[in-house]
Amino acid sequence: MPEALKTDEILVNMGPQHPSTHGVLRVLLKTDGEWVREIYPYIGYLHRCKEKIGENVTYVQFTPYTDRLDYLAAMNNNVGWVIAVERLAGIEVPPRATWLRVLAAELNRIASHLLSFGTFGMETGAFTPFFYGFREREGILSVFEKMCGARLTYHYARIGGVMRDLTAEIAAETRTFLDDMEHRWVEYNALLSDNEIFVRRSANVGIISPDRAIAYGLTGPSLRGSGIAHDIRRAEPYACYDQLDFRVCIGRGLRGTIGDSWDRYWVRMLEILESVKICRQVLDGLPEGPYRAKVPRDLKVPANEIYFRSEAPRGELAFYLISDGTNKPWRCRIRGPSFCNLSIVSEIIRNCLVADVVVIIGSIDVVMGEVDR
Amino acid sequence: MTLNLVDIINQVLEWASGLVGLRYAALPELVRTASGMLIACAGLLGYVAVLAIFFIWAERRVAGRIQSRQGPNRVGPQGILQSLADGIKLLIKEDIIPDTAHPLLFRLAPMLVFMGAFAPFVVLPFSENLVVSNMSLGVYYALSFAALEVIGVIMAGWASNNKWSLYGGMRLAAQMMSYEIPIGLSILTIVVLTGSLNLSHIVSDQQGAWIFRWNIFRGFPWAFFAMFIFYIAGLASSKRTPFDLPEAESELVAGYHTEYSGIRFVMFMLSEYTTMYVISALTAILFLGGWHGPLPRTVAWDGQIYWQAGPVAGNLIGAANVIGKTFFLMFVMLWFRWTFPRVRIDQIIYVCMKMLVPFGIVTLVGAAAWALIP
Amino acid sequence: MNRRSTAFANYWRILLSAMVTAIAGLRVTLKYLFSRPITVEYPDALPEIPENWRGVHAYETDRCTLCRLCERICPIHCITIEAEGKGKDARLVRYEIDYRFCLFCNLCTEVCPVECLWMTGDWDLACYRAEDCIIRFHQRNPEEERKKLWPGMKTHPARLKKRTGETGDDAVRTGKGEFESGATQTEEP
Repeated sequence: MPEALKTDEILVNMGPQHPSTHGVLRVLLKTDGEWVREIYPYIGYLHRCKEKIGENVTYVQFTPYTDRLDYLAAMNNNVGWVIAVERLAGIEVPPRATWLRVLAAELNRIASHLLSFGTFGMETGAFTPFFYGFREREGILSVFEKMCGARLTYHYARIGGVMRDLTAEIAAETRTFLDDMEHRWVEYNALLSDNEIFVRRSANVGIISPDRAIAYGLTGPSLRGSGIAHDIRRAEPYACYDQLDFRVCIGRGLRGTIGDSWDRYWVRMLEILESVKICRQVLDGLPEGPYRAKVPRDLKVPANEIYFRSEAPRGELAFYLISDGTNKPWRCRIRGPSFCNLSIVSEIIRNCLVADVVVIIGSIDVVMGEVDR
Repeated sequence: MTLNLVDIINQVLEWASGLVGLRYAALPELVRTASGMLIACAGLLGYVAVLAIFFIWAERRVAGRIQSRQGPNRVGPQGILQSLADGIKLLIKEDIIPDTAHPLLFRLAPMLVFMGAFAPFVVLPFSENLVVSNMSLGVYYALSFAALEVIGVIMAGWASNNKWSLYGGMRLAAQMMSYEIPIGLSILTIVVLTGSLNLSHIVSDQQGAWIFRWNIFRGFPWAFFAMFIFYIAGLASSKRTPFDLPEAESELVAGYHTEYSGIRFVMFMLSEYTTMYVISALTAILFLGGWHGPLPRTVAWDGQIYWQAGPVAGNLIGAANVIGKTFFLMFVMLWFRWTFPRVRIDQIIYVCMKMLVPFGIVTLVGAAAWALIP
Repeated sequence: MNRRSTAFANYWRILLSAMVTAIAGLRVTLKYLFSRPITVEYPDALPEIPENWRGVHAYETDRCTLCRLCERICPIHCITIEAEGKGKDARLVRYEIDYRFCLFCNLCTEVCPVECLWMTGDWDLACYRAEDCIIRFHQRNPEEERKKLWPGMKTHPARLKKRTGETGDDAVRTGKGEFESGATQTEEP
């Protein structure tokens, strides 16, 4: 290139409002032509002071707020929070409630992964998988509507149990959905996962090596996509996961290198099937009994602290609670998985094309509700 | 010399002027040809406008149905007035031109792009007589206007004074220029088989035996693969998925036409659908038999002719054949758009240079060798 | 998977894979092109609201005992209650729920001891001014409110059997203010 041709690196802003950054994420790209040399993510556009609110409302009152952390997987957030409070306060939960919580959490995992499948497809330019994902989600949301009366912010898991019991009608509808899901899964692979164009867009793109993944505190499918078989449901089982049979899905570099974007996407697709398996086991093995323990409305928790981690669809969702004997937490710290998962983008997005930036951020599947809280 | 559309229009004008008592034939030759051509082109422009309106509606309906939802169905019966409503909305918008945009080039760009897309219509035959200009260099003419589109797009990207537009414009320039090579190679395959650059000639060579004299069957395997090369290269040339990176919404907002609004944006959309139509029509004409199609114009068996369409009916049936095939191919373009993800820019160039061009060369050399065999 | 393929073999593998997977994808979309869309054509067709849906509240002014439990439990303090008088003579002046803030979490309905507050299947709160989102329940007619059920609902919520911590069959929850008249429904088996 002749010296007289001055080429500069320009800063391009993919602003908070952008069709493809998952939520309000601002990303500054330092580009040299089509190549991105460095990327600076800016977060905080969705900060709603959840942790401060947690210090000023009671444990029972904070449960609806947890819905809104990772709004796409509200059941998992609820379950994480209520189990944390129950362990803190020493409340025993009837077994039927535990199993119903797992059913809700796994169904919501399927819904969340379907959405990430759809948005990831959209980022590579395939518009239809998004609609197919939402069509399947309609099946799950309709089940949730009957279970708890809401479609996005469920507030189903309550301290001491769950909000409402599962009827035979809802169980039948869930089984129909699960059967349907397995058929559609095959179609999704034909449409997107195996499509050569999609594979070429996502394989060997955004490779996260296992040691970098652990160094940055990645969890969930982003970690398992790099080949590390760490799943909190197996490592530190909570609820009834120790009685259920499921595989931990890891990326094996089937289409490219281990730890590329295709692997992370594929881990999510496999987890959909595993969650279907888990839901069937829960429906078959649901114990009889009450679904909610009596818990005082004004729950006072003796001074204690707990760090409880659960496996949300995006990784390790953890609550660090310090109680001081009153009915409000003294400290309510929420570890959102997407916060740590997002931190790795500034390292792996180096010297790649602009088109790859959206693919990599999409494969990590961040939800800004968890990042900013 | 066969009658063409300009002649037909001139004859109609002569007859009409006769009614009023004037003599149209008394005007000089040049004036008559020019006015005939202008009227023909105005007619084509109207056809293109209606086409765009229809295809925008069709695209949205097809997209909706593929995605398990309705497309537009509220504005007018089955939503057919939707694109008209959108067009009216865009027309009455304020004409926003950025302060720092280049005044002349910004305004000129959409016009150039549309010119490059619309000019090949002059040589596109709908039937033996329904062609505006029966040029002996028809193929060459159609091909050369693709280059004009490239200039228009670069102008749009540059004159917008917007980094994102510039990205889109540069990507598109690389894409369109590269894909002109496979387009040329596959067209040359047919030209070599037929021996003529005249589009009407190419079609009349495909006459007979119902559909089995179509070029894809006549020139199997060379013309068959050339059709796929041409169609895919044409997809890239009209910036359709999977090659629609220049207008990749999820990355660049809207690429090279980010800064355009209102009527100027309409010109870009119009030229996209026009290019799609030209590519589909050229595929139908060069490879799929043109107006010798599924709808027969002669019913014959064992040398005995049972029915032969007259000149008017024959032209209309031929036009129906061409338009039918073109619409089917455009439907395939819509189908592709809603199925495939987008190919990245370096992969677009890879596909062009390392996949389409080598296969194009092979089909061209094969067809040339074939043509040498008596 | 055989990984020692050369670049040449790789090239042909990509080409073949592209064609095969393209056709597979096209088959899927073609199938759905000719299937019925799943759209619910609102506003000509309304979505099906199941029982127990958490929508806008319904409130019976004549049964409320002004215990203010709902006001206290609301996580976002969107319920405003104003009463005149004290004790048994307390009279309701104002009962407003501000739907700009309401989380639809149904803590308030759970905690009401006389079940005079429940959530209906009504979800349409669209209005032109933000202030119109504050619904003044004290101005509503309790007879009209009692008719507000979910479309699939069979019994009035006061008759719905609650099972809190009890095993086996349902136990009807009794308490003060067992609802007697007005609602049209069949007894649950």
